[in-house]
Amino acid sequence: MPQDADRPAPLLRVRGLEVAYGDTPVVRGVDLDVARGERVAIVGQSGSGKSTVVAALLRLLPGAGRITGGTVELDGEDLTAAGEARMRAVRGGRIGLVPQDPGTNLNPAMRLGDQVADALRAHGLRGPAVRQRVHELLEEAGVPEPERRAKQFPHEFSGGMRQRVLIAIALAREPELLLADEPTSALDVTVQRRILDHLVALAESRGTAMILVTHDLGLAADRADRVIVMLDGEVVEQGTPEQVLRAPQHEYTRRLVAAAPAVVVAQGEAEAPSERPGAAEGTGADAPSSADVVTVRDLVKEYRVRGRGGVLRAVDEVSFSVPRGGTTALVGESGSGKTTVSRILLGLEAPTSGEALVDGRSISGAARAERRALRRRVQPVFQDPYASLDPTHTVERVVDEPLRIFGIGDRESRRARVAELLDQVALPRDVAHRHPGALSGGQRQRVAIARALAPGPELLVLDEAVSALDVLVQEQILDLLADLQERLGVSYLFISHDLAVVRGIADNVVVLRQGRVEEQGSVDDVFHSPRAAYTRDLLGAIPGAAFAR
Amino acid sequence: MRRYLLVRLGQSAVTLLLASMVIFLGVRMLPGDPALAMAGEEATPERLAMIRADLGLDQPVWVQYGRFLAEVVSGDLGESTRTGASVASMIGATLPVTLWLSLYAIVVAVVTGVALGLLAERYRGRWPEWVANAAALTSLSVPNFWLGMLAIVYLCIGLGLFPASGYVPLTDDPVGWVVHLTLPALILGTGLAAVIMRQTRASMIEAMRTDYVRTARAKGLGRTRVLLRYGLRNSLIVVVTIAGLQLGGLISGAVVTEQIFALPGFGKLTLDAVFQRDYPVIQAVVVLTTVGYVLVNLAVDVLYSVIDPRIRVGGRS
Repeated sequence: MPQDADRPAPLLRVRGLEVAYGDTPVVRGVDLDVARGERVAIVGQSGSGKSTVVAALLRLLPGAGRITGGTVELDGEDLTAAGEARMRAVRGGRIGLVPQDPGTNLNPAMRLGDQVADALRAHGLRGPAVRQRVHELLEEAGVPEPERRAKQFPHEFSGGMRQRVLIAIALAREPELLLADEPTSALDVTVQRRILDHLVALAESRGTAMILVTHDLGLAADRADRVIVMLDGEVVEQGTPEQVLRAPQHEYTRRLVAAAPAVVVAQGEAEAPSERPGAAEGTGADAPSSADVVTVRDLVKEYRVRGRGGVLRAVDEVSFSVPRGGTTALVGESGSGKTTVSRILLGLEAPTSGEALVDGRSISGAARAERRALRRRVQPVFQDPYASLDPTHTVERVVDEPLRIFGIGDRESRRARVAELLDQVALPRDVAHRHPGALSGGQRQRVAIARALAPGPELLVLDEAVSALDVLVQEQILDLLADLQERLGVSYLFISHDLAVVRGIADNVVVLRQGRVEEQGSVDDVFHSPRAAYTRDLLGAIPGAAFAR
Repeated sequence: MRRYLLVRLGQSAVTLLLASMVIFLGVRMLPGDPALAMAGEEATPERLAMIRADLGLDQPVWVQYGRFLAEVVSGDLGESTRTGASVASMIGATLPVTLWLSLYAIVVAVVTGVALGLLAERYRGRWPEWVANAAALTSLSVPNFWLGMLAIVYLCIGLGLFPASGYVPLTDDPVGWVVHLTLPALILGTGLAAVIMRQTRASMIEAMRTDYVRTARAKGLGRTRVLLRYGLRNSLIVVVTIAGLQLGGLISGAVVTEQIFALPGFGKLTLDAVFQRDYPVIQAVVVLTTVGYVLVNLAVDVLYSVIDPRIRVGGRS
């Protein structure tokens, strides 16, 4: 309801919002206005309170969470004081939610059509009109053959398709405000872009306002009219994407902008040709030489598909190399075969044909004793810093384990080696006696790197090793990796779905798609003059890249 | 789905075969000599040998097992060494009583257990949860036979609400059948109901924390609707598993309950047979119980795939 022509009252007006879990405040004095049809992005790292704000708006805080102060006015009505019945009418009816993870946000035991229908029935729609509307909604959200697919269960859908169903649910009752909580961060970049395009177009055509919660500053800049930056439960900065990215006021925002990989890419592109500090000049990937620590030639890995008697080619004639002391990046989306290649190199799987050689020798083809020696030269660092360290072991035991396994040194020398390794990854030595549970995600990943370095490998296989980390931590770990490479001369096979991150660390890039090499070459070639259409797609899908032009 | 069923059926057959060996050997290893039991203490060695030959006890064990298996498969369970009556007919007379009793008890247990579990979750932290918890704890800690005797003293003799003993077949008098079975089924079902209640509540709490429940609530659905449509079905897997596992307890519970209420059931038959070393009867009872177990497990697996559509995928051709 506009009060006067000059300043229409905002659709949503949040003042001094305070939220606490138990006695711990997590959101402190947040002010937020969203006008009708406006798109506002809330950016922050994990723990910044951005998702809590969204949950508080819907009054769906988990467990001991509760609103301890402030007001949330929707069209002038204070939702913090509204009764449960009133909130039911608001949820779905006036405020729709697009949640983060399409894998966990649909009931696995219920047909998708019914889950969309519930969003209609909750607001009183009955009879055959429901089914009709469900099909329309699915169609609008981009689900093909809605009549047939409405009868399927979530496990029969891909992640992207499930997210489309969740969008259909959120839009079912044409809400005035859409809360999109990291709506695409669980999806591949190209899928992510298509879904976001679609979501924004749907919202735009209906005049729906949107709050887009994301950890990705580039994505926020691309999609929002206004960007709000949160840190530790408080809003530290807000403004247009231009203002926030070009002239960040707050110290934290400045660091965030500096670290945002996409923006770095775009700037790098503007300043090209770039001068990256780093090792070996791009060794031609197609001409394997003794300067390469890894040579992969015509690698094929097939899996038998159960039940159908068919064969799935997960890796299809892949060839590339990793220069000694340099970094080759394998880039691709889920199902591209990048992890399978890494497992073969680590000797965890045998190739169907072709070879994956480390120092000219194959792990899978080697005899037992030799395989052991080769394993020592190739060490992995995995994605999830929470799952890849045994929570019952101390850090010292974790880092010491490969030394014990390979029988390196005695007790005293091993202890000294662990201390040295912790120094190398810039962890304080007293961390040695702590358990992983007491460490942050970034610290854990440093422990994982120390463990990988312990037996003195020539190659580290970094499988999405920074993907689970917040942007600032990600930057620190990437710096550490570059530093270690310079000092120790260790080579990296850097596996990632994120082209933006690859740009900063790799010498060569291999772009994989459905098991095949789409394109490979030096970082500069691939980023500046991509040959394959798919690479251009991937590059175009990097959020924020377009913005920084 | 069909392939899934076939695979499970095959597994069940193998299980039964293995179980039959264990049963056969187990019964053979019981102390006491059936020939001696039949002939009496003063029997001559010749008489004993004759009885043994008659029963096939003088043959090698594997021959005895083969014969046992062939007979069981053909439905011939032999004759009671005690009364000479056909074991099949003895079981035919007693099994329905126990089957009805167990079925009744399971229905009672699942219905009250799930309902109380739902109530406890729906009103978490309020009095319905406390009452449900207290009821569950009480029925878990009070033994069945004690509960049964209390019920007889107060409900049957004191208030005259139920008959204290006896059984009327369903076909003779449906009302009498219900009246006679209700109290034993309630008593037998309480323990299981408590277990199911606690399990339902625990897995409901788990389910209500999931993302899809929050998404359902964000649609504007009320708590109760979400509880029933999104929470319950995903909790049922655990409930079905527990109910299936507890069925064994139910059968041994039936032995006690039948004694208390003087029901002429399978439990009573088993007990009498064990006391009298009536090998053929014991064997038949154990075989049937095993078959029952395997069938229940099969049913549980099939129920899984009905409840959780993802389980069907594995067997799809």
